[in-house]
Amino acid sequence: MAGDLPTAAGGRRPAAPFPVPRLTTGLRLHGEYQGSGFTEPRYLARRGDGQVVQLTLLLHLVAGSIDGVRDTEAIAHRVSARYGREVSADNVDYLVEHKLRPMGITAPPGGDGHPVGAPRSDLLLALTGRRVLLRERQVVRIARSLAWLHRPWVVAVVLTAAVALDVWLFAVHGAMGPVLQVLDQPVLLLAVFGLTVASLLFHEFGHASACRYGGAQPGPIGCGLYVLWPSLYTDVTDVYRIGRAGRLRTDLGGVYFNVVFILGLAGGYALTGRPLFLAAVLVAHVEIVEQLMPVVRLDGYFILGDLAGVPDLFGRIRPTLLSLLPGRPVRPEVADLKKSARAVVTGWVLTMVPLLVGELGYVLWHLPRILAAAAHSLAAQGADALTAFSDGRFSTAAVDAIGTFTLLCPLVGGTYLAARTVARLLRRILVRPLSRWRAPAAAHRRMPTAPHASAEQLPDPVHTLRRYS
Amino acid sequence: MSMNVTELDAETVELLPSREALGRLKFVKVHANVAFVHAHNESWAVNDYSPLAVAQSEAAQSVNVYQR
Repeated sequence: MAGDLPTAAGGRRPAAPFPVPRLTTGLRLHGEYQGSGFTEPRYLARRGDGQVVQLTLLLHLVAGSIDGVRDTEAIAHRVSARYGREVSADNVDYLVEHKLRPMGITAPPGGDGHPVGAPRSDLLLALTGRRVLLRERQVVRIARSLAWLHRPWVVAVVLTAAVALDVWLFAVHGAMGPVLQVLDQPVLLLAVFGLTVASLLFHEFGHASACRYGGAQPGPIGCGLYVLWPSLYTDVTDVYRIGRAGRLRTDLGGVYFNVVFILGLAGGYALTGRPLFLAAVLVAHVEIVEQLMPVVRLDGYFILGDLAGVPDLFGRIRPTLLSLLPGRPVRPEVADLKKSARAVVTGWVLTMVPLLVGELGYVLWHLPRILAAAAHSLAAQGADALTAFSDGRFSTAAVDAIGTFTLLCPLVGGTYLAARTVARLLRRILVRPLSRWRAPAAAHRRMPTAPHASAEQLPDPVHTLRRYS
Repeated sequence: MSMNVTELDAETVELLPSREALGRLKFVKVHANVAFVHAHNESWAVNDYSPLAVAQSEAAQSVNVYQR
C-alpha cells in the first residue's frame, strides 16, 4: 500500500507515509469494565483531564496499540492479530479520526499532545459552585488511616452493635423523647447541627476509605450545591477501573461510616447521658435512609447502577422510554444490555420518571404558593435572627440564621436549575438546526481522509459519538 | 477483507460521568405542635335500692381546644 505512486511528469514519487497517531497526554487505558451489564465487554480509558470514556473492544485495541512510534499500518497488523479479523490501515485511520480524536483519546496532528475541544460529560443534575475542602493527598492519607474499618470482621462487629443499639433506642428507650428535649434549646439544636455536619464529613471519609480499600485512588473532598441542597462530595471516579465488589463497597462506604458515627454518638450518650447525642443518632438514621434512595445521584443510585453493571443510569432514561413506545425498535443503548441489566434499568426508569415528573408537576402547580410562603418565612426568620442578635441571644440568632440559609438554598438551587433547563432547551431548539445546516460542508472537508466512503456514508461525529448527559 | 464504514461506525465511545459520592446536608425539620386542650365529661346515674343492677346514663361532654 505504501509503494511509489506515478506523478504527472511520468516519474515516480514516494507514497505518503502512513500517519503515526499519538495518544493524548496523560491518557490511561484501564482495561475491561468489570461486572458489566452489557452483552459485549466494554473498556475504560481516562483522559489526562480526568474524563473517563468507555470504548468498544476494537477501539480499545487500536488505542492500546498507539505508542507514538507505530504507524497506522503497523497498528492495523497488531490489531488484526488481536481482534481476529482483518483491520486495514485505512480502518485504523478512520477510527482514529472519527472516533478517538474527537473524544480526546488521540492527539490532533502537530499539537502538543493535549486534546483540543474534547467533550466532557455535561450533567444537568451536577454539583455546582464546588469548592475543594481537602486535596487529594490529604484525602488519601485520611482514607489510608481509616481503611481498616472495611475489614470484614470489623464490618460484622459494627453492624451487630448497630442492630443492638437500634433495638434499645426504638424498642426500649424511645427515639422521640431526646429530640423533644433538644427542640426548645437553641444551644442544643446548634450542637445537633454541628454533629450532623461532622457525620456528613465522616460519610465522605467512608467513601474515600472504601475506594482506597478496594485499590482505587480517591480524589479530593469538597462542597457545593447539588440541585437544591448544600452537599459534600468525594471524587471516586477511579472506582470505574476496579471490580464490582470494590465499586459497591465504595457506594456503601458512606452509609457504613454513618453507622460507625452513630455508634460513636451512642458512646457519647453512654458517657455523658446528654440527650442531644440520641437526637443526633435519630437524624443520622434519617440521613442513611435518604442516602439509600436511588433518586438523583445519591448513594442508592450508584448502588443500583453497580448492581446492574450500568455506569450511567440517567443516560439510559431516554433510550429506554423510546424503546418502550409501541412500534418503535429497541434502541442500541438498550439492546446492548444483558437481560437482567435491562430489567433493572427499565424498572428504575418506570419508577423514577413518573416520580420525578410528578414531583416537578406538583412544585410547578403550587409554585406561586410555595414562593409566597418561602418569602414570608424568609422575612420572618431573618427578622427573628436580627432581633435575637441585637438582644444578645446569639445561639438563637445562629439557629435562625441556619433556618434562613435552609430556605435560601432551595430557592437559589431551583432558580439555577430552571435557568439551566431553559438554556438547554434553547440550545436544542436553536443550535441543532444550525449544525444540520453546516453538516454537508463538514462532510466534504472529511472526504479525502476516508476514501471508501461517500459523502452520505460519512458519519457526522456529533451524531455518532454517543454522549449521554 | 477489511471492515466497512458501517461496521466502523458501530464502534462507540461514550463519556462517563465523573463519580462524586455525595453527602447531602438536608435539614430535618422536627415540629412540636402544642395545643392546649380542656376536656370535660359529666355523667350521673341513679341506682337506689337495687343491688347488683346496672344503671345507665347519658354523658355530657365538651372539649375545648385553644391554639396560641
